[in-house]
Amino acid sequence: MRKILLVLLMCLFTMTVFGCSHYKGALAIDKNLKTQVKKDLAVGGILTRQTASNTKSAISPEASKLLMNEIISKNVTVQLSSEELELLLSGPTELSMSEQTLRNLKDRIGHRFVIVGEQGGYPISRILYWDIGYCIFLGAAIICSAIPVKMSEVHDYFRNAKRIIRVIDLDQARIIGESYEVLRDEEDGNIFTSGQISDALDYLNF
Amino acid sequence: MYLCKFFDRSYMVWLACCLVLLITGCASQKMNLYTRTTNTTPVLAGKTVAVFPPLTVGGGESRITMDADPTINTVFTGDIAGIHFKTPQSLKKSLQEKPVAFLELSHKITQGLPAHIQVEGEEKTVFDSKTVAGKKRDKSYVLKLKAAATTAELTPKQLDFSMINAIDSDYVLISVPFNILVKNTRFLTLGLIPIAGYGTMSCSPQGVFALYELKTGQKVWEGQIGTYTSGDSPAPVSDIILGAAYLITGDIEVPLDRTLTKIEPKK
Repeated sequence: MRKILLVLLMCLFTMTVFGCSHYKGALAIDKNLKTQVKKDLAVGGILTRQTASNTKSAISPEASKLLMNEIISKNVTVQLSSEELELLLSGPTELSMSEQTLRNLKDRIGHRFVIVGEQGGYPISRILYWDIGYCIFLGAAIICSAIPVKMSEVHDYFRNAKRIIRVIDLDQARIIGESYEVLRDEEDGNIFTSGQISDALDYLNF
Repeated sequence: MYLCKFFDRSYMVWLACCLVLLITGCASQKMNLYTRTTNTTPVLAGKTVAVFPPLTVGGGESRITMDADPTINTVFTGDIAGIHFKTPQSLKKSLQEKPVAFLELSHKITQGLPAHIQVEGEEKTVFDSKTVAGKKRDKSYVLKLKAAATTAELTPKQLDFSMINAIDSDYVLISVPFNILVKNTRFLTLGLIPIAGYGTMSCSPQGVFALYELKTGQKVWEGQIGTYTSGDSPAPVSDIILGAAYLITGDIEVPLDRTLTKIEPKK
C-alpha cells in the first residue's frame, strides 16, 4: 500500500515538473532597428479578447499599467480607443490595407512605433495518450519502450490563455516584433503578469 | 573486409540497408497534406482570379500570415493551367482605397476560425519526381494527399464585394492560414500503474481557401488544407499554399517550380 502511494506521489511530482508545456512564437525586432524603436516608442495598451471570434473587446487597465511599468522609463503612454487597438492587433494584411489610418495615428500620437498587447483565449486540441511501458531482456541488453494508446481527442474546445505583445511601425504599417504565447491553463481568471510581460519583451529582443 | 570479419555479416547488411533508407529519405522533400473540400472546383480555364492577400484569424499569430504572403505572391503569378491569376501585390493599391470595407470583410471571413481539420480519406500520391516542370532538381519532390469531402463550411456562403474598390476579375480567392495547437498529454504506465506524466504542445499550419464569384459574391468552392506534424518541427506554410494551388488548378508542377525557382539561387 505504501509503495503504491509512493508511486502515485512520484507520478504527481513528475506531472508537475514536466507538465508545464506551452507554445511560444516570437518575431524578434531587427537589431538595426532596436535603438530607433527604443527612442521613439509609445505604449498603446493591452486589449482583452475572450475568444478568437469575439468582437466585443475591451482595454484592460491593469494589464496596460503593467506594460507601461515595464517600458515607461523614457517613453510615453498614449490614449487609444479599443477600435484603434483592435486594428493594431489585426493581421499584417489588415494593417497594410490601413496604411493611411496608421500614418494619421502616428501624426496624432507623435511616435513612429507603438507597443500593444492582447490577452484572451485561443482554442487548442487536446489528446490524451496512455503509454504502456514494457522491457525486453536480450541477454545483457535491456530494451525498454512504450506502446502509445490514444485515450481521448478533443478539438477546438479547450480554450487556453493567450498572450500577445506586439510592436508596430506606424510609418510602414507593419509588425516589426511579436511575442505570441499560448499557456497550458484555461483563460478564465488569467491576466498578464509582470513576469510574462518582461519575458515577452525579452523574446522581442528588447 | 576487416570490418566484415569483425562484425557479423547480417549486421553489416542491416546497417547498409539503414544507410540506404536514410540517404533516400533525405534526398526527397515530402509534402503530406490532408484536404477537405465542399465540392469540385468550377471550370476556371480562361477566367481571371484575383488572389487577395492572406488574412489573419482574430487573436491568432501573425507570423504565419507573414510567412504565407511571399509564397502566395510567388505561386499565383500569371497563368496556371489556363487560369489567369492576379497577385495580392498587384491588388494592394485598389484594396487600400477602402480599408474599412476590407477590415469588415476580413472579420466576416475569419469569424468561424481557427477550426481543426480531421485527417481522413484515402491517401494518394499526386506527385513524385525529381523533374519539376521539365527541370531536373537535386532531390525528388513528393506530394501526398489525403482527401475527403465535407459539408461543413467555415467561410460565409456569400460576401458583398461591391463595398471594395472595383477589381477586374471573374473570381476572388481568399486564403486564411492559421496554426493549430495540439496539447499532447502522455501518461507512462507499467501495466495499469502510472509512473510518469508529461505534456507537450505542438503546432501545425493549416489553412482555409475559398473561391467567390466576384459579380454575385457567391462562394463556389471551399477547401481546408492541413499538414501532418512530426515532433517539434512543423511543416512549412508553403506546403498548404502549394496544396491549394493544386486543388484549384489541378497542376502542381508550375506552382512547385515557381517556389523552387524563388528559393534556389540561379546558377
